[in-house]
Amino acid sequence: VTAPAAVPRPAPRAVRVGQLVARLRDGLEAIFPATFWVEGELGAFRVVASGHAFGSLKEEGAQIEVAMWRDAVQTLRFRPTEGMHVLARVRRVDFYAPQGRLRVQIDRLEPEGVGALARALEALKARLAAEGLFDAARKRPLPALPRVIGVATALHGAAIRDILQTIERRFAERRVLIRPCRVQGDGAAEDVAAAVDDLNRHGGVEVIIIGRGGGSAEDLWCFNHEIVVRAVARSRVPVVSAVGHEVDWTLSDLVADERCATPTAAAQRVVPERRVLAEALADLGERLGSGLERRLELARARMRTCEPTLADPRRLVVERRLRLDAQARRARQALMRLTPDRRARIDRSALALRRLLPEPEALRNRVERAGAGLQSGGRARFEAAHRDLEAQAAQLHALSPLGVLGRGYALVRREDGRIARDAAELQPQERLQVRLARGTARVVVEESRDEEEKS
Amino acid sequence: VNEKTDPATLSFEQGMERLESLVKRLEQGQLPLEESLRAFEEGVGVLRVLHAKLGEVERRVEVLMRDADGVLRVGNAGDLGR
Repeated sequence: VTAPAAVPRPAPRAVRVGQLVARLRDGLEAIFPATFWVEGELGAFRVVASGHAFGSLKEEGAQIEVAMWRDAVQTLRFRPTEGMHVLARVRRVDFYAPQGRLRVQIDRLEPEGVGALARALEALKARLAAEGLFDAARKRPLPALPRVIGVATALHGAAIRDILQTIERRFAERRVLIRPCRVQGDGAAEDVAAAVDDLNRHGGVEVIIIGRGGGSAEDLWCFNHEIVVRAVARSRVPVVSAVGHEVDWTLSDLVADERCATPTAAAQRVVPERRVLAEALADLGERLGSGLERRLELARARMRTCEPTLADPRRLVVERRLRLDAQARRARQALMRLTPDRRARIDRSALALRRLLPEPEALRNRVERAGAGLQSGGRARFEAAHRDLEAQAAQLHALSPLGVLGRGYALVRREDGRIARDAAELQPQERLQVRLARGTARVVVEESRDEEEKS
Repeated sequence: VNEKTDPATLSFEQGMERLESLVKRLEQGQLPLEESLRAFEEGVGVLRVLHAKLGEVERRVEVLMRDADGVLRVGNAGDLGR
């Protein structure tokens, strides 16, 4: 008996382990592309030194390993214990290659009762978000200085007390219209929604604050209700939500035009401080006046630089004549350097030219006459413009509630209408007109002193 | 400068914006004299309206409620009204 000859068989096609794992992971990702919730009993659940947690979820006859990363562990608001019935949100179903084990990554963990509510809230939130109710583009700016502030909250709670105290402190002269409503328990959501609608119907309300002064997640629940969200969304008046919880955002917070953590913060956001506004106005008024004053001063300075020329236009003639003389001198010198032949030709031309020109004496007389006319005309126009400017400036100052006159200064004019600026110019017995913030007075100078009086 | 509107129709924030832009233009000193005077004049008008708005005195706390017939009524806020 001989052993059968080894028959060469074709080598089986094999994948490597790494390839198998990679294919498994791809497959898992294809099966579970999005997050979903899984319900079950918590097995062992342990937070390790790194802050991550590892454990298992199970039920009769089935069990799966779970891992929760540190970021998610930190958001846990209860202590997960073995045997607890929970809902876990699965982020990823993963094959952990180094140990060859299937592991589910979870990022939320809720005790069953709360978990069901959370799921419903999340679904509602997604639906309303898809409608665009939470879009930033829908947010309206709040009025800078509302006269009537609507408040939808309980009539006898901490929230209304905080709001009224804050408004009293910042800008007491406001009108507050409260539409009392229940903010927790049965019918609270309907009541809050009706309150928002009523404040809109009233007509005069310019901004609405809705909210309450904090509480547990269940206490705040009515502000997650769809009818409240829709009432806020259809409000014609901007709404500020102040549900009194630092961490959790209710759906009312998301849909409101602005969200504040507390009723006090909402009142601060809605009502400006009177003192701050008054200071801003005073500052702008001050700058308006000094801006014009500087501009006028610029105009005055420019007029002063023009004055000498206007005062004596004959200066222009004198300057021209000097220039003419210089040119004539240069021409004569050039003439001397020419050949006799060319000089003779030029002399002949000059003679012919002279016959064509008017007498220099007649020209001079014309210039003199024109100069004199120019002088008186220019002076008159300058003075008229100056008077206009001063009169306009004075009139505008008188118009202004911040005008210099209103602060107790006076405008003193001399008899020719010019404003007196220098005591040295004034003569004893000279008559002056004094313009006060209201009315004028005629006064006579007794004495004038050059320097400032020292007292 | 030409789009001058009646300051009384402006809201408080619009008035503040207008006034700020007038002051800025005036302070830059680039405006011709006549336009400077016009800007000043308009600024004084806006300022007066803003002062008036700031001075509006209506200090009231009221309650909005429905009466037996379901009609909205404004009532006194009792001890909340200070």
